[in-house]
Parts: sequence; C-alpha cells; structure tokens
Amino acid sequence: MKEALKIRIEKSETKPPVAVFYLQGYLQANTLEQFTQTIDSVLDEGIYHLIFFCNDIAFASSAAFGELLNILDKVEQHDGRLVMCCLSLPVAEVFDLLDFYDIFVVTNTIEEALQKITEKREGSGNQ
Amino acid sequence: MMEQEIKIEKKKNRMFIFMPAQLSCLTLLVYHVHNFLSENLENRKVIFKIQLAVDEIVTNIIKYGQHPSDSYPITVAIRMNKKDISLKIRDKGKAFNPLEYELPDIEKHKKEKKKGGLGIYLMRSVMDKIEYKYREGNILNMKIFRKNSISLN
Repeated sequence: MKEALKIRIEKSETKPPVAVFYLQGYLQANTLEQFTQTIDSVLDEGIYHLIFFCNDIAFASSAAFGELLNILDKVEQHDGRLVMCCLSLPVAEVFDLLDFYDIFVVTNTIEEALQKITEKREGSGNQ
Repeated sequence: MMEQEIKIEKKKNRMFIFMPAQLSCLTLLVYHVHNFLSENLENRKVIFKIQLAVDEIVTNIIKYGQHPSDSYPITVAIRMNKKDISLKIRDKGKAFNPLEYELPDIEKHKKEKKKGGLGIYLMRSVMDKIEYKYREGNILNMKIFRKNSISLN
C-alpha cells in the first residue's frame, strides 16, 4: 500500500499570503501527527489564510475533524480564514453528520476559496 | 516494537480481520474493509459509514483498551446479509461499553472548538443497531439495515 497521507503545499506571494494544502489519502489517528505538524509549520511562518483541497481524501475519521476545529480556532485567533474546498464523499458525509457547514467555509473550487479569503481580507480592512 | 501486519480471512459473504493493537494498522484496516464491501455494495455512503464505525471503535480500543501482549487482540468480522450488513468487533482489553458513553453536545463542542470526543458520537450516528456485551473481552455487534438505501450487486 502507498503512503497513507500525502500533503502538497502551494503558497501564494500575496499579502497576506495564502497556503493551499492538497490532501490525499487517509486522515485518521495514525496520520494525525503528520497532518498537524505540516499545518503548524505553515502557521509558524505566519500564514493564517488556509485552503484545504479535500477532493482526494479517501477516508477521514473523527480524529481529523477534531483537529480541523483546532486549526480553525488557531487561524481565527490571527484573523485568518480556513476554507474547505472540493469535499470528497467521506469529508462531506461527516460534515453532514456533524453539521459543520455552519462553522466552516466550503467551496467547490480553489478560485471560489481564494475569493472567500479576499472577501475576508477586505471585510477586515485589508490587514 | 516491530510493526505487525493485519491478517485477513474471507469466506463467501464474510471477512475476518485480526489485528494488533497498533494505530499504525488503522489505514490497512479501513482499506481492507473498503475493498471487501466494494465487491458487494455500490452505495459508497454506506461503505464509508461502515469504515467510519470500524475506525472509530478500533481507534478507541487501541488508545484506551490496555491490551495484554497478544499478537492479535482485536478481531473485526463483517458479514453481508440479505437484510443488513453486520459487524462484530471483539477485543481483549478492559471493559468499555460505548452505549454508556455520554454523548457530547455537538453545538457546544463546535462553539468551543473541542478536539476530542466525536468518535463514539459518529459511530452511534451511522449505525442502525448496536449491542454490547462483555464475555472474556468486549464484544460489540453493530448493523446497518438494507432498507437504508443499500443497493447490493
């Protein structure tokens, strides 16, 4: 079996910067440390506008969704925005079960996600 | 500690998975559950719900079960029936009845952005029937009924 979780990161040159995380594979208790460390390393660079591209997430458990709440809390403390983009079936199913649509911004494309971040920046005075 | 593989046995409409109490085996576990169910089921939502229930319970067993040093203390059995899909999860760890676990207030949970405590809630949300007993270990029987839009091949 291939690597359980692969994460590719693209960072924009905009001010403030945006990081897009392309998540592929399994998000569960055994891959949580890798996931958390990767996100934290980007937050440590001072990047608080994040997009999670979820189309290739094959499986996600409560461990991942608990961590998502934690990441959302961290970015909001720095007036950032976390956008969930292109939810795969497993992610969408848990979003339904937990009614997460009322606390997370969800989009169908990266362009829409970037637009949501632009709106947030302009709404908070182009920090 | 050396990482162990999981053992699989398939018999017609049944699959048995024997696994060590190691989180590193979780991905293989849900991978094999998916592959077995995909051979017989078209409904991807139902397949995911079963994977989710198995993952949540087994994660809990590994994290909190305090297992003896058996090589394979956890057994997951899946059976495809005409009326339902049944799961039986056995482990030799300390007693834990997920039906007695106090479910979190999800709205409060989200508002306070708490990390833990969602697993048992999700497991109980996706299963139609859950029974627990303790007999030389934990035995959890769960079912998803076919009436809930399961389409068998």
